[in-house]
Amino acid sequence: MWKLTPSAARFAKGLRQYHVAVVGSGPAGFYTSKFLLKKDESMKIDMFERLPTPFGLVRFGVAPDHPEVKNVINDFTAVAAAPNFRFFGNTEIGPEVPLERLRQIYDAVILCSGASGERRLGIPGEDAFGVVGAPAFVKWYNSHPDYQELQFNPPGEAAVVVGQGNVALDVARLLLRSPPDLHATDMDSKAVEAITGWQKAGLRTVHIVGRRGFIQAAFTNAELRELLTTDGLLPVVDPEELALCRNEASEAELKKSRMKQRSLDILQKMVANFSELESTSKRILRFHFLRSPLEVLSTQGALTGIRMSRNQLSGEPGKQQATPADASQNLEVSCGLLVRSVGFDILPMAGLPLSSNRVPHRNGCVESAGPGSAGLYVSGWLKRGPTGIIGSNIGDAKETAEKVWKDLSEQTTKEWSEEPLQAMLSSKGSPVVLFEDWQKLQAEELRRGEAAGKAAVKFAQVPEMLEFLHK
Amino acid sequence: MASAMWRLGGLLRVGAVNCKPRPQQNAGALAMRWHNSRVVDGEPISFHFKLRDGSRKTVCVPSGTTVLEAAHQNQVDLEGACEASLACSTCHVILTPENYDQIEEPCEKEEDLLDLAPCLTPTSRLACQVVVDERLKDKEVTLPAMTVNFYVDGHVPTPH
Repeated sequence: MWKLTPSAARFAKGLRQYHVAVVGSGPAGFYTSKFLLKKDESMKIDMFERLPTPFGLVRFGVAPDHPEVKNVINDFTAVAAAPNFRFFGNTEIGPEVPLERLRQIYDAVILCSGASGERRLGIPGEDAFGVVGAPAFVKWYNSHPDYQELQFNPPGEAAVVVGQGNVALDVARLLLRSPPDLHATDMDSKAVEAITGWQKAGLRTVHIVGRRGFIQAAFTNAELRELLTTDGLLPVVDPEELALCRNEASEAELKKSRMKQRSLDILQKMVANFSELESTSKRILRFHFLRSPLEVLSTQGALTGIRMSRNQLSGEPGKQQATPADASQNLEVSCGLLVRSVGFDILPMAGLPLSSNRVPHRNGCVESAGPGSAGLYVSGWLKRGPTGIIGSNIGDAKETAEKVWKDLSEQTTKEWSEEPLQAMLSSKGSPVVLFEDWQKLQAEELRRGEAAGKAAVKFAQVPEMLEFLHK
Repeated sequence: MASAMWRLGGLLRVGAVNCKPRPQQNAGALAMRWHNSRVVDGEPISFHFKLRDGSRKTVCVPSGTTVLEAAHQNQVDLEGACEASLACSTCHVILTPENYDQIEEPCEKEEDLLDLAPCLTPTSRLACQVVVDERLKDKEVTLPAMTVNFYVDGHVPTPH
């Protein structure tokens, strides 16, 4: 007795079967797919990913010493195992696979491709050798194929991280973690070797600089508290600077925020470390609040340090801005590496609207379906701007999935033919990597990791991945 | 209510209490899903989930199951992104004040993660850290209305 598949059963009942394209395979793409399949498990979802490997910033953004955060990969792998889900890796939406073409083929197209640009400081000297953006730096140590050519000089005794979000804390912590700790993670071996070398050559201090106070900083307490318990690391806060952060408006903000009250408790422990600054044998992570970079200092194009203002806060509680105050309190810090961690920028695909670093939308819908053209939707950073954590995508993706489902149920379904898609994929210059191919890569990464005493040895070059798959 | 009150007042509590990821972690991404891989065989306990739409779902699980496992086993819409390894707050639930006060206090790490949970209440917990026992019998566990802040068009997030 043969049995109808869920989609065939649906078809037999005269119900429509929808075909949806998801562009991007990070948390936004996978959560949106997950919630679409929860709405209707017969929906056909094709996910397109530029790289051969899925999971976006879970793979390339999450700090290598936070493996537990990556557990969400198991959830996403379960989504990929759904019978109506397909993954087309190594497939960039562009000239060979144009967005317009996807909109002709599918019933809906959901863009979940995140933010690949980064903010700059906009100060003199910023292009000196030794200045790097955190998005690039993080992708370098996380084996992202696009960032393996980055070059650095040993930074000397100190590095500076500008910005006070969790990415900044990740970078600072990893620059100071002990070589065995770094080696045990899935951090790129080349980066482990580089950072180990920098530490041997004298890298001892990382300054982490924020233009406002701790109450306005974006870091969260789990990441902050972790610094207190990281082996060989002394996080230090200057008591006078902590006091400066607590102006009247900031006190009002503090009073309203349970989270910031708990941050204060952690920072006070770091204040207690201040007296050990000169005597400690540990590596030092030094917080600076109310400081803005004014100028990057360099000699013959190579970074030597940074000059920073002393800021004061002004404005209503919740809307305080930092402005340079007393020039006599400017500070110069010598450093041979400067990582700017002041945010990402959305670089949209051609033809996509953009405002306030987001794609304008209504409940996730950018453009309703027109004659012959699928509705266009967004999820994740494209939708809400480049902020938030993996979990922030959940409600966001639910909303977009809900909207896609609602719109689809109100419109006529296109007649599906596999042919135009297959024609496009088979004529493109580079082979498509399927999810099962990725799983072979993943198994090999884990196998190599086990052999090397690391959590994984990640493939960092696309040709190497393709060669492994086709040998 | 004393322990529930401190959160609103913002008093600080120091010192970790029994802070550990709950179920045994699987090493590989391909390992079996964790919530299916743990055997729990305590007395059956029945309790209710108050769902996001206001409706109620009664579930029955062996004592010793976590509330997150109970949700997953019963198709209750609760994520568990980090698989109970105390690295996210996607399994945020709200207990009754009575239950909140009866059970072990959250550890510091759980509190740090709860900071990030939307719709935080004085009796919020992470479902992966709450173990079902007779104290939860016939009681209600509420799913928060929202899991993140939506930014509908026109909203500009506050700059950092």
